[in-house]
Amino acid sequence: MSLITILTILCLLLQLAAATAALLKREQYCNSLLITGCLIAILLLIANWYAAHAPPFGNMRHVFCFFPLALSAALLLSRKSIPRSFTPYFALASSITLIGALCMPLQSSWRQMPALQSPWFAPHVTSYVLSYGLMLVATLIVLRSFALKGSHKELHLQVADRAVRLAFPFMTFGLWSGALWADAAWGRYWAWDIKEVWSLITWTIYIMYFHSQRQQPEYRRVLLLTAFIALIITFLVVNLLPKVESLHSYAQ
Amino acid sequence: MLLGACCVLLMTGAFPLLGVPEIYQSGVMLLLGILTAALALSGALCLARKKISRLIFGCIASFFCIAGLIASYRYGAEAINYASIGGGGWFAAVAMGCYGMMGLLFFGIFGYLLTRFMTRNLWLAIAHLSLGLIALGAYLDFCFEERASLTLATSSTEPTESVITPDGRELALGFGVRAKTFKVSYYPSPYGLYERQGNAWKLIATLEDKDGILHHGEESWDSKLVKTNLGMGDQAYLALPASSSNAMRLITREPATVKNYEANCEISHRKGKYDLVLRVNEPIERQGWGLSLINFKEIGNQTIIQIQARSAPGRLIAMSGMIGLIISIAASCWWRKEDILLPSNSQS
Repeated sequence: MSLITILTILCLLLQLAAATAALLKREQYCNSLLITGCLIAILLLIANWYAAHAPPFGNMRHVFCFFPLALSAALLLSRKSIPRSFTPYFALASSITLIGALCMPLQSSWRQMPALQSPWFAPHVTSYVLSYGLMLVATLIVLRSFALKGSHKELHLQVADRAVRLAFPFMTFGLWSGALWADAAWGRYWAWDIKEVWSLITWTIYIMYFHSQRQQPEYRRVLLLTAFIALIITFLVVNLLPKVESLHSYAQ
Repeated sequence: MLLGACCVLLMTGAFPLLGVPEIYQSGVMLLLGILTAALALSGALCLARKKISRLIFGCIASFFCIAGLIASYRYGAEAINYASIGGGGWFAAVAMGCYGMMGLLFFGIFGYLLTRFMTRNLWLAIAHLSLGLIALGAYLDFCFEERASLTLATSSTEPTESVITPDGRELALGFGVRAKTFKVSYYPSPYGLYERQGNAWKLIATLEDKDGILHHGEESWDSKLVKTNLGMGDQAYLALPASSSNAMRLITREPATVKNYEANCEISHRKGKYDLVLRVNEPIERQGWGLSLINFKEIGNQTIIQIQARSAPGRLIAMSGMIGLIISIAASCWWRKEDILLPSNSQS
């Protein structure tokens, strides 16, 4: 078993333990486990970087491994707007992505093609990972809200709304910085590539969500879930379906 | 001040139009720059809030900021190199210092104006205006964009002064461009370990050459043994006979992957000639045409370079819209008073 796999499993166990500790209202344990998990995630990033000889965003496994670190940063960013009782959702989101990482083949070495050797590369990917992580947290909170009633249900939607508002600027940066990068690399800012189109669809559904603030809560919940389905198609389906031809297929 | 200086240095180093040093190419420095800028902005917003005296101080210092900005635009990351050379290069070093000072001061002025005059509704209005700009730019490009492929051979001595569009029209560039030299670098060739399964060879692992040895699990082979064999074509390989534990296997040397490439071009116009380097991710702009290095092909002793020439009148409008959208959406999403959560006893 490689070091990267060991670190991934260790990080996963810590995130699951942190989620359990938070659910049992053992806040101190939860914090310690999250900090340790974050340190392991940093080690994982370094190990991937060392193996890839480049910023480790070359394949889906690299990207999945980066989620726990991004979500740790997101948890820090959201400490004022999201109550601590929602910490398990962050740990759970990290765990889901780490399970995803373990399902992907370990391709440590990576040849960074010329177009990817751009200053836009790391900010573009990092902002997307941060936004997708937070959107996953928001979706988990909304899913939980379906099982609740009364003011707790309303509270969950409010917190999900805050997570989306925190994430959306990162998604916007990811989308439009991608266009600026494409202009430099391919000589056009929009190529109607399948990944670009699905990114725009996802972004537009979240915009629709922002414009539905006065609608019924049920409608907004469904809209958030629809947006997340579009996000999954953008993130996974386009890259993992073997017959889809995309300018972004180097991220497979 | 220190944060402002750091962010500007990091971002200047990552400025793509001025030749990006190796260390910045991954974008990590740009990311660090953005993070530091965000920290500086947050600090400056606190400093500049409702203090007119700080605004006056900021205006006086803006002289240095503008000088630094111009110098940095001119020299970019090269300023650090100029400083180490000394002599006239010290201008750039001093300018970099001024530019470093600019960081927090600029954010101070900006922050003051933001806190005084900008409201969330105004940011939302800017976001919608930015979307309008993107649509306008895209529409202008849809109507008036000209795009053509330009093929240059390194052996050619005559500059190319026009391009042919896909529909057969010839358009004058207004200047001449000639490829003088072309540089390409490759990653070390990987090795593929194939196993015979039925009638087909299946790739079971990609091996890396570590100090002349190829490792796979507990097995290892000398990479020098992977070589071309007389009468067997150009492909380097090593045949591993079948054993009790393994089927017949083959180690082959895979084709090398391109790491990067760049063309040294000569631009000629009425006033004279000058050289510039065209790289992937670093297009050049001349007389309304943007030239991007797209691909290359090696044929015999010469290299054919494929360049995309594009004249897009709406490009800058669309890009301003994109930048406006990024800033305004961040401001409108993050800059608002949070509603009180229900039920209140759930907050901690």
